[in-house]
Amino acid sequence: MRREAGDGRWRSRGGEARYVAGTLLADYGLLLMFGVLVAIFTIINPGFLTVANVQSLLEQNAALAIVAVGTTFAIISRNIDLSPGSLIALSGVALALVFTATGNIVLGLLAGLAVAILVELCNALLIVGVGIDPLIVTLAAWIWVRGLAVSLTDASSVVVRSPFIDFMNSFELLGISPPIVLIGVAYLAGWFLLNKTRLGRYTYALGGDERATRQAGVNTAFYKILMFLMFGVFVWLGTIVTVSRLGAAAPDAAYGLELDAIVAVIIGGNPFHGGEGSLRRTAVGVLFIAVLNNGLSTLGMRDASFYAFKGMAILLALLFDVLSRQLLRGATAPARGQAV
Amino acid sequence: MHGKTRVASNQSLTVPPALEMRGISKRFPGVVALDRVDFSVRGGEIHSLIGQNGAGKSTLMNILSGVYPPDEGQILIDGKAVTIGHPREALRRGIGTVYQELSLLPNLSVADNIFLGREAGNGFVIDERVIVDRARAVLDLLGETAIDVTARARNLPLAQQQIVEIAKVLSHEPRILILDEPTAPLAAEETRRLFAILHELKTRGLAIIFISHRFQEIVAHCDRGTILRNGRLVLTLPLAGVTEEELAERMIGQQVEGCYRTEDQTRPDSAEVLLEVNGLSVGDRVHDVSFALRRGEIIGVTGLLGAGQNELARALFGIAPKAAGTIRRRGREVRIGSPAEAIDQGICLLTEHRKQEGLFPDLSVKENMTLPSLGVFRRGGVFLDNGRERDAVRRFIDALHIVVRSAGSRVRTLSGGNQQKVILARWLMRDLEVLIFIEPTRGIDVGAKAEIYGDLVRLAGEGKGIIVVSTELPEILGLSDRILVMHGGRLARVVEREAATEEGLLATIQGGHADGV
Amino acid sequence: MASDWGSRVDRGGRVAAEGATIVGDHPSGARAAGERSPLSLASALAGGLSGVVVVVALALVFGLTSPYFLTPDNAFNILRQMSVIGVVGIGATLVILIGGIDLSVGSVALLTGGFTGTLILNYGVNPWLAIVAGLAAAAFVGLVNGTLVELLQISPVIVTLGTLIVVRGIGQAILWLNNSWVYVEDPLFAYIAAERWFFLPVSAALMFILYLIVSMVMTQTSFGRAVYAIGNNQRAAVLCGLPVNRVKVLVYMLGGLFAGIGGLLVAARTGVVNPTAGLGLEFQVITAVVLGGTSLRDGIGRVEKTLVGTAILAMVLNYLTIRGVPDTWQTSVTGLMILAAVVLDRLLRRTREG
Ligand SMILES: Nc1ncnc2c1ncn2[C@@H]1O[C@H](COP(=O)(O)OP(=O)(O)OP(=O)(O)O)[C@@H](O)[C@H]1O
Ligand SMILES: [Mg+2]
Repeated sequence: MRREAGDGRWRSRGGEARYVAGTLLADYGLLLMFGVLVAIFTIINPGFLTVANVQSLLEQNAALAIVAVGTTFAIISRNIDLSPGSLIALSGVALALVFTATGNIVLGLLAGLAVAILVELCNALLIVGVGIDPLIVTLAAWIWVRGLAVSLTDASSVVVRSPFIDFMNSFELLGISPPIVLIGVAYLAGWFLLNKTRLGRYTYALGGDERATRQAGVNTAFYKILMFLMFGVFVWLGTIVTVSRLGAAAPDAAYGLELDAIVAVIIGGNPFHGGEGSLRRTAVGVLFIAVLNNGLSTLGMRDASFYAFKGMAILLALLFDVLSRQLLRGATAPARGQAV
Repeated sequence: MHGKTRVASNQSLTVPPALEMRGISKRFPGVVALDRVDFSVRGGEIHSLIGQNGAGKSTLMNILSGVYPPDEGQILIDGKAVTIGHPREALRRGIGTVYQELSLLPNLSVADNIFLGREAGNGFVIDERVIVDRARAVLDLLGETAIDVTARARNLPLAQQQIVEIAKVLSHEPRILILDEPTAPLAAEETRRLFAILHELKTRGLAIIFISHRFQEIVAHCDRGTILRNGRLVLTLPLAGVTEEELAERMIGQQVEGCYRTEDQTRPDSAEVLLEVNGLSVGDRVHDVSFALRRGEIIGVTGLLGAGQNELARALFGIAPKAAGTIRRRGREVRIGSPAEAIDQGICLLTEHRKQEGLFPDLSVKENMTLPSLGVFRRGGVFLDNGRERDAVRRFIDALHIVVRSAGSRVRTLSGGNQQKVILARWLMRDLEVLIFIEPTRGIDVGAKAEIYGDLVRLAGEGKGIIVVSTELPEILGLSDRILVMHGGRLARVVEREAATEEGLLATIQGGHADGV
Repeated sequence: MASDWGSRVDRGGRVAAEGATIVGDHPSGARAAGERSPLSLASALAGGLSGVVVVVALALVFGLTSPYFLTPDNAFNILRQMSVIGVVGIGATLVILIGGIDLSVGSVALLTGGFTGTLILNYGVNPWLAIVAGLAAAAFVGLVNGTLVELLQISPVIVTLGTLIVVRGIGQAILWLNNSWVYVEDPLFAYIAAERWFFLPVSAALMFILYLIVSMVMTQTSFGRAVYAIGNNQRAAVLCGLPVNRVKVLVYMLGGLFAGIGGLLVAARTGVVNPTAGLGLEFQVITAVVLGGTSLRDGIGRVEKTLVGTAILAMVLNYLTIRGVPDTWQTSVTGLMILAAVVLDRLLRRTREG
């Protein structure tokens, strides 16, 4: 009996060891690719790795970085959300319209927050209450929210001129600007929520097995709604940095942002099927995409070739990731679909 | 101890039972799963719910634990009528359930699983340290010191997962404890420990509802039993002095035939060797195992959980990573790298993971059964011959007594035991020469078990070679011509049928080497 | 609380007992699980019914509010609009059934149209040969998708997002050879655009024929069974000895092939391939598949249902156009209409299943 128990423990630790090795690669394999990417861009363009460029790189991608936090929750819990890009546009439009009407930036900001939260609430209620697949609900939102933003502004940008915007764009302390602070806040808050609170715990649980979670007595509906509302807040932060950067609310702002965010989460090593994942991985994925965007555009690449290169770089990174993990497992890696 | 029980039963005369279910009915599309069932349990008793596969046991318990609402009927707890609309409510009312299928979240740690839904802390922020400490304490209480509470649930073997599941429910400190086939994945030792715990809980006044198809456990440990048949109550009876046979007869409504093979059916050693295994190793799980399976022979493989018997079987089907050694089919060396290759070589495997590796829950009984055999039902090379396919499926539904509305029903809607029969039928239908079954009768009721044993014996008689991997000793003893006992990944001993006794086997299983060797 | 209870009821067998726990980890989104297998005729009829009710209800509402909507001319328009999404939707349904997704269909449509058109226009290749070459290119993209997803185990969202970008780049490069526009004036294409078969536009008739064939294959052959089995429980499918990798790669190839056919239909209808051809097609197609009721998670669904989803989508788009809804409002109304259709379908099912 003793021996059996000891044996069992040892074995489960062996499994854990392989798991840890796999996790390490998932976490740091991309970091390596990231290094290579930075090196390439630096060789081609010596100005790439300057403080100024790094700062502008972060600021350029602040909305992506912030939204990716919410997307991480969405993917872990298997409630994908395609609406944030459109929602940033709509919430920005609400901000701008209310600000134009009242001249009060605080009211504008609150209007933006209200819109972001209301739309996400609407998504959540359709998913939880009516039981429609999150992909279709948020796909529809992706369409109608963007459409609303376009029609409310007649397809043209609304300029927002306010001291607050100036502050967001020009304030700087030791190279840290407000958008960078917001990124930091988003990741800290996200990390805390994901690792230290029930919301985070149930995010993992929902992605693992929703039925079992419910049977354990968790009010899954409540926490799902809470999760979408939280996403609304992250979207709102994304709206603030987007509007500040443009100095206006553009109905076509943040187009495709949701896909970039999903790619960042996945490429960072979080599995698409949910149930596990971490913000650290997301952060690496975001950096990768950010460097890619920035590097390609400083090379002066446009449209078709830009996208082609971006697509190939992403595929290469994934290829590397997968191959290195398979190498680690060696030739005896269990084939697909096998129990390990 | 004795005095306490008497007090409890005295109380029951004056105090209402801890739990009473009155006139419970539940219909699913086309099935009356429960028909006005009355059921009551007292505090301080272990009450067994008994019935064939599909009798409605799990459904009754699911109603009690808030998974379904009943169509009719009343639930009373301590004499007060209650409604239970959600699992959360059941837990709040002190009803804890170990479901028939495991429900651990694979990526959460053991501790987090145990306290899922009641995380320590202020209700939002979680205090992980407290959770770990409490989980440790709960498992210590169960005498399970070997389980690492910070390990991920998916890294535990099935039996330990089951223990964690039980710990999770017990940590709710329920007053009514429901255990739906908790012993199915457990071997003798774990089962013994589980019952020690249950007896302890019983003296503390818990009402315990226990479901199992192993009558041995029921008559040894349960105080009363309630028998269900086809969704109706047959009777509730005290179990003191009742034998397994009587119980089986009451449950089925008729006498059960002797189910194991008789002496004279043993094959001679001269029969052709169907499968020869030499020096088979699987990573660090199995070391250097050799044996031969002859035509007409049933080999039983047993051992403690995790002694390597499952990996051995998986290696023969091409799904064990790092397998090494030689396998010969009818004298010719073959390479088996995948299930497809194994099936080409006439070998099939039924694994113990019914849910993950066996069933297609949303496909029909028919589609589940015929999937590997579709080649047989083809007409003109391309299209399937539905008529012939359906006939074949009907034959197996009848032969194995699968309780199902039609061959087109989703497998998801079948009871646990009936699901098991469907995947068993899948391989019986495929008609291969070497059949390897891991825990083939898990969750199957005694009547159907007898039929399945009969089928296996008949198949062996028709010239197949069968390997049964099981931790259930009566099954191994009753079926096998030869018994391989595994210990720590090695073949510890080979016992011929005539020489096998339960005591001798147990000694080898536990100790690794026995008197005789 | 109330909503929680609601979702529990509507999921019927899903939340369920042990029976339902089998793969119980696909909760909310999944369709209410009927008692029947998705392959069975009964479930096809039952599922189709609520879809048809939605289609008829929409037609009535639209017809009452816009007299032009129900005229034969407009019906032909709708059918023609349906044919592209419908045909591409066949492949997309299969891909979704095996648990994958293909976002590259729009780019593949562009590539196929551009490649075929260029071969005919610039090199005078026989149109049939050019079509075969174009479709081969389409299937090849599918092969690449399938191989990357299967052999390297990369998430299909990422792989096909990558090919979406790369293939669009290649397609546009081909178009640049012709100054960005390829006019497809070949008689064969003109015939498809103009003629009618059995009172149907040729493209719509082709679509119906393809649906008939594929739905036969899905219900009556072992390939169809394998697709459903893989989608429902891949590991179990491996253990049944199915050639899982091969089937999945083949399904991705079919996804590419049908996207290619869709691209040819676009070229025929508009007579031209321009660099924006097929842009956003993937979202329309996925919308149609999901509107039809195919689950994105557990391999439940039927090809024919995508036809219903396509009809709903095409009717909504058509209605918005003939009502003269301003362009800026059209997108948001489309989104809301789609939602309304899904909710209606969902509620209908719920009442029927009690
Ligand atoms: N969700 C469901 N939909 C339709 N029928 C169901 C559903 N759940 C259970 N049933 C049917 O109800 C009957 C009772 O099933 P139940 O699971 O209660 O049996 P059981 O007594 O637990 O059997 P077992 O010993 O095999 O576990 C069976 O005929 C089963 O097919
Ligand atoms: Mg049961």
